[in-house]
Amino acid sequence: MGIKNRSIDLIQTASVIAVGALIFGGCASREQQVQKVARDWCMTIRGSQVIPVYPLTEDIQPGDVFLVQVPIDQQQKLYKKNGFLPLDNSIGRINPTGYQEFYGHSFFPSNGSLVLPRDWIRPQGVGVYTNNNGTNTQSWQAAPRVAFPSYSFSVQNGAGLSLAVPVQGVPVGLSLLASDAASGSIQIQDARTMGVDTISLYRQLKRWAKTNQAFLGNYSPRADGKRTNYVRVITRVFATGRMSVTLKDASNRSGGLDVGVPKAVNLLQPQLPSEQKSTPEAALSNYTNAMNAISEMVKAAGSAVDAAGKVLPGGSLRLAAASARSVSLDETFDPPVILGYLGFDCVIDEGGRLGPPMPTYANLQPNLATGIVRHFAIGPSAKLLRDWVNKPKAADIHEGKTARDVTKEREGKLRDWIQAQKGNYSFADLLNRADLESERQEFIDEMGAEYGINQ
Amino acid sequence: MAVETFPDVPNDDVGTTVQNYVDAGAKKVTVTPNADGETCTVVVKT
Repeated sequence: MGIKNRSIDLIQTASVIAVGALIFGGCASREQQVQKVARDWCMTIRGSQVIPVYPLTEDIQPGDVFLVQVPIDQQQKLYKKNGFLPLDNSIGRINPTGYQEFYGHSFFPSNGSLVLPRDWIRPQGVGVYTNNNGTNTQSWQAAPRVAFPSYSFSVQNGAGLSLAVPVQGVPVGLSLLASDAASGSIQIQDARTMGVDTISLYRQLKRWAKTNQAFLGNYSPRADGKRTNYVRVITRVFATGRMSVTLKDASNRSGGLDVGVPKAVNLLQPQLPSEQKSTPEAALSNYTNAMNAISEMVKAAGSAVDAAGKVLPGGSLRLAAASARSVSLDETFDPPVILGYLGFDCVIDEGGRLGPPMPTYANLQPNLATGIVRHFAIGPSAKLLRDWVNKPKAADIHEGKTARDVTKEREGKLRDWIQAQKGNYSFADLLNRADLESERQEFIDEMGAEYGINQ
Repeated sequence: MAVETFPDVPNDDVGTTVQNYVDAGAKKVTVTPNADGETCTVVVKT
């Protein structure tokens, strides 16, 4: 009797734990899946050498300037983890003047010019541009076309289907959580692009940066060179006007706990619906299979008996559910929305000056990583010291020696001085790094007269 | 391997900068011309 009561208590406790595990386990999975929605979607776009925008939006255009405060090595980690870079810190919008030269001989009319991006995204002036299914707005119709490959997926027995569709299909995609079997396909259609050349935009950016130097100065690099900020400028955007999504799914969920003598549990393998109209049949079939499996479990539970034929104490809790669905949607974005971009990054140097443009995509490739970014010294002490080392005067080149010999000698003198100072930098750093200005000045003050540096 | 990048070395200083870093024991020095035509990006691996 005592054993039986303990068994019942244990089963009740186990029931609570098992149900909790199912519920909260499901929640954790859902959160992860939501994150994967963004990541997997962006991975798809990245495959086309385009940096993804998430969520899709109309409001990104060439000339947009963003502040990027994440170091490049962490950008790479974030990019790998999330699949996209957040564009939440917009600090400016430059109006590119290079469109006419860029498109003047191709997509612009031969007589007259257009004002981009307005005349492509709002060809009929401002106003409501939605829900016309592409029949009236003409939005983006004049822009160059782009084609993205369609893709499909299929998973079996996975707890981690992570279909990523940031359109109205998302709730459908998310409902596939913990699917045992699912398949689908995505097509990006009516894609268009608009861009401008880097050089003209970089020139405009430099003018913009001069005007806003005080603001950018707040984001100058730290003295140790470990924290560098960037501005990211969009040079090209990609828009889509239509997405076709097809999803098929069949799922089950189960969980449980054994107390005492374990009982057999058979989990079902759900079947995918062949098409949308066969969904009810598939769901019924899956449910019937589940019920049969549970009947088998109950029958097996009664077979665990002792030598005297009595059922052994113990119990097993199992929860099971089954579903099947098939959904197709064909979503039109009218006007089209931006799904990805290309751009370049510029280092924010001391005093808010901008470094040269580096393609954002290159920055995100580990093999093109740039590690610590140093500003090249251009002050008088650096020039003086570099000339002393690298351009020795004829009078200093004694018989039997070359200019190169003198240069190496002087490099050695710098090396010795750094060693005496216990500095953790090379003589080349002393010559070229802007952040070593005080050390350079110190060397000139100490050794300048002896070595004839100032002469 | 430490990597240092100088994104804005004037063209006139590129040659001596590379030579100095090679003399200082750098394992690899990469020079890439910048879009402005006046400077180069110098990446030093030590």
